Amino acid sequence: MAIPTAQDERSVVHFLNRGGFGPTAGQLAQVKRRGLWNYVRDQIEAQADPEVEKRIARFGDQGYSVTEMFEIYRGKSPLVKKDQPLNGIMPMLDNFYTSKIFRAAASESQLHEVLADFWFNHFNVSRVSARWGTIAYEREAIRPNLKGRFRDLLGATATHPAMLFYLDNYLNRRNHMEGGHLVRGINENYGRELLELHTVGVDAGYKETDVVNAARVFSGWGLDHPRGDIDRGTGVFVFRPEEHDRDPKTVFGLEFAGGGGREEGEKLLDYLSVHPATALFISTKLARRFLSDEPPKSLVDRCAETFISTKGDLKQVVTTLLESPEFWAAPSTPRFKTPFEFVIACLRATGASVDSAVPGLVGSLDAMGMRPYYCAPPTGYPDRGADWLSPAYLHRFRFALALAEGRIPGVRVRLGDVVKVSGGDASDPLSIATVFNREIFGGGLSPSTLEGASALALGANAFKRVMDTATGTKHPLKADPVTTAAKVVGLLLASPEMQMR
Amino acid sequence: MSWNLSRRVFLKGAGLLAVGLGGLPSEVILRTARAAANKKKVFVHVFLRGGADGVNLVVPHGDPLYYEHRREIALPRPGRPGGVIALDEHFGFHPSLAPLQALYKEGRLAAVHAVGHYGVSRSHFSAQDFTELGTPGERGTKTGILARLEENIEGAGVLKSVSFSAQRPLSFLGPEPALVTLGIESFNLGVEGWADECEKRLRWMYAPSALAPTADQVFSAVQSLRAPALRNKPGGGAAYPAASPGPALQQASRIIQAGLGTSCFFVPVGGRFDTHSNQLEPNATEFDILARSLAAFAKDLGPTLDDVVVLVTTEFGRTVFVNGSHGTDHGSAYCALVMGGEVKGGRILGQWPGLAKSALHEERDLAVTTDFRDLYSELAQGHLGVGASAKLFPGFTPGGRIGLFS
Repeated sequence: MAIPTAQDERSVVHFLNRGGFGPTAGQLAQVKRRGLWNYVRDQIEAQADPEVEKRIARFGDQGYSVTEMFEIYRGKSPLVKKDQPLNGIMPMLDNFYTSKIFRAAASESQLHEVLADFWFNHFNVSRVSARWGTIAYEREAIRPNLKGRFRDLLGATATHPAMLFYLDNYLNRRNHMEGGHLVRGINENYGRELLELHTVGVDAGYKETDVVNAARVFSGWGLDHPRGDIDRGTGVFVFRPEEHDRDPKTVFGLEFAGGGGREEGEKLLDYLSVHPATALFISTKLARRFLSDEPPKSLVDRCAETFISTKGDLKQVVTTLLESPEFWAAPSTPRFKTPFEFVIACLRATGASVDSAVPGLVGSLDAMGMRPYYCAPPTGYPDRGADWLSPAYLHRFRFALALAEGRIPGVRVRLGDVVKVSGGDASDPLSIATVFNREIFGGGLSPSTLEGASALALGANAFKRVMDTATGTKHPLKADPVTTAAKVVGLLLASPEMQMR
Repeated sequence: MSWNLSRRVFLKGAGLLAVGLGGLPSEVILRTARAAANKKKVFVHVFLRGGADGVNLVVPHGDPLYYEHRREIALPRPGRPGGVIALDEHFGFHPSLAPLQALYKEGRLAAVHAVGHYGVSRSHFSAQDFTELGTPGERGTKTGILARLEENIEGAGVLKSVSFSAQRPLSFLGPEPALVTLGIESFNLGVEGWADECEKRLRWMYAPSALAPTADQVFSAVQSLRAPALRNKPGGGAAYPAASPGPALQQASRIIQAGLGTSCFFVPVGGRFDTHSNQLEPNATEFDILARSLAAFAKDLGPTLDDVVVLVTTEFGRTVFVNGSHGTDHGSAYCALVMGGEVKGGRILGQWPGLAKSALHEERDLAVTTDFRDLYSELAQGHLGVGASAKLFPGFTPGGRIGLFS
C-alpha cells in the first residue's frame, strides 16, 4: 500500500484538513514529532476523545434514553424539578448543539468526529421532525458504530425511535380493509429512503414495487405508545406481529416466502447491507467526503472491493481510502468546505474556546444554510463542495471577521496568545500572517492573500513597505495590538485558502 | 378585474397624452409613461419542496369519489364547519386559502390542476432535480429551468436572478451569476470602521484565486443591496407571516420596488408538505402560511403586481387514496397556483382527469394532464415576452395551451 513517506508541511496539513476539521496552531510540529503515518494510524484507531467527553458529561443532560426523555417531557421524571417542569428540553438541545461543535473543534480524535458528522448526515434525522429523539439517536445509533460493520449502523438506525418516527415507519402497518376501503396500512416512507438514500442508492435500478414491498417487509415495526398516544408508553421500538404483512414478497431480488415476522426486516437489512450497489454507493459518498466532488473511479472501485470482501467493515474501507495514492495526491484537487467544516476550521485555527454554540455559532451556521440537526429532508445536507458555492458566501466573510474580533457570543478567542506561543508578534501584521501561514496553511498562502491581510498598502512592493511600519508609518490595520491581530486574522480566515481543504 | 383594467387604460392614456401635447408634456405624465414602457417583468417561482398535495389544496368537492377516497382526511363540504371554500360546483379552496379568495375573485389568481410529469420519479430528490432542470429523467442537463429562461431576458448582473436559499438551486444552474441569500438585511461585511478597507483587501486576496467570480458577485450584491428603498415598510399595510415564504416574498417585493433589475426570483419553501401521516394539521398550517404570504405580497406590490407573475408548484402531488396513517404517499399530478395582475384568473385551468380508479395513474395517483413544461413555456411567452422559438426545454416542443393570459 502507498504509505506516505513525506513529512512535508503540505502533506501534514492536507491530512489535518481532510481527516479532520483543520489544523490548530502547534499541531503541525506535534504530528511531525509523532510521524505522519503513525498519526494517521492513531486517527483510524482512536475512539472518542475522553477529555472532550468528560467535558460534555458535565452538562449532565446528554445521556438520557428516549424513555427518560418522554418522562421528562411528561413532567413525571424525578430528574425534573417540580417548579420548572419543562426546564429539561430546551437547554438540553442547546447543549446538544454545543456538544457537536465542541467535539468537532476540540477533540484529538478528529477522524472520529468527521465520521460521526458524515454518518449522521448519511442517516439524517431532522431535529424538527425527530425532536429530542435526535440526541439519543446520535449517541445510541450513530456514534458507537462509526468503525464497525455497516450492517450494525444500518440496524441501529432502522430500530431507533428517532428514525422510526422521522420516516413514519412506526405507522407502517399491513393494509386493513373495511367495506372495501383502506382504513390503515402500508406507509412507504422508510422503505423508499432505505433503498434510495441509506443503502443501494437511487440509481441502483430498483422498481416502484420494490419500494412498496420493502415497506411491507417493515410493516408492524412500531413504537411503544399504547393507542398511538405519546403521553403513554416507553417510546421504544416494538414489533407488532398482528400488523405485519405475512404475504410473500420480493424486494430487489430478495424473496420472502410469506408467514414471516420481524426477521423479514432484519433479513432485508442483511441483504442490502452487503449488496454490491450499497458498496459502490457508500464508497462513492466516503470518497467524495475525503477527496473531491468527483472522486477518481479507481479509488471508489477499490473501496467498494474492500467493502464487499470485508462484508462492510467500515474501518477497512476508510483505511483503503486513507492509504490510497489518490488520497495523498488530492491536494491538487482542493475541495470547497461546507459551512460546518469552515466554521470548525476557523475555531481550531484561532484556538477558540466554545462555551455555548447558541445563539452565536448556530446562528452563523444557519445564515450559511447549515444549521446543525435541522436538515429537514432525509438526504442530509449536500455533500458536494460545489453545492455550497454561492453569494451566501458573504456569511463566511461575516463569520470570519466577527470571530476574529470576538463578536461571536459564547466563543472566546485569544489571538494574541496563539501568535505569541507560535513565536510571533501580535502587534505586527506581517508577523501574524507569517505565523498563520506556517501553522494553519502549511505555507500555502498565496502572495495576494499574505499581502491583502498584512501589507501597509496594496500593490507592488507591498512587502517592502510593510517593513516601514516599524519606523512609524501609519498602518491601516495597526490601531492597537488587539485590533491589529483581529483584523489580520479575520482577513486570513476569510481568505480563499481557508475555504478549501 | 375592473381595477386592473382602469389602471391599464390610464397608463395607455398617459402615453397618448404626452405625445398629443406636442412637446409640452407634463413632466410627471411623461415620466409615468416612460416608466410604464420600461417596466421590468418579473417572475417569482415559489417551489414547495416535499410534494404538496394538490387534491386537498384545490378540492374537487363536487366529486363524490373525493370523499370516498380521502375519507378521514377529506375536507368537509362547503358550508360545513371547516369546510371547503366553494369556487364553483366542482372545485373549492382548502379553508386555509381564505386569504386568496379576493384575489381569485378579482381575476388575479388562477389554479392549474393536474400538472406534472410521470418522468420525474416518486423520489423527492430526483423529482425536485428533474423539475428544476426541466428535463424529466435526464440528470446531466447543464442548466436549470430559470437559468435558461434568463438567457432569453435582457439584463445582466448578480441581481438579475435571486434565490432565497442557502445553496444555489438547480433552477439557476448555469454560467450566469445569481444572488443566493436567506436575507438581504444583513448583506454586508458586518465590520465597523473599516468596511471599505476590509472590502478592498478581500478583493485583493480573491482577485487571483479560483473563487474570484464568487467574491465579485458577493461585493456586487453588497453594493446593490445598499439601496435605501430596500428598507421601506411593506405597502398597503401588508403583513407577512414570519414563516417561509413570507420573509422571502417581502424581500422580493422590496427588491422589485427598488428597481434593482431582478427578472426571476426563486423561493423554495421547506415546509411540512411531505404528509405521510396525519395530514390535516400540517396542511392547514402550511397552506395558511402560504396563502397569507401570497396575499401580503399582492397587497404590498399594489399596482406593481401587473408586472409580476407568481407561480407556485411542487415536485409531485400525492396519492389520491388516504394511506393507513391518515396521510398520503408520493404521487404524480399536483395543483399549481398562478398569481399576477396580467393573469386571467378566477378560473381553475387545466383538464381535470377525474378520480375514478380507471382514470388514476397506476391506480393510485391523480393523472397528469398538463406537462409542467407547458406551464413554464406559457408563462415565458405570455408574461416575460420570451419568443415562441426559444428553446427552453431540450427535446420538448410546447404543446398544450393552458390559457393563463387569455
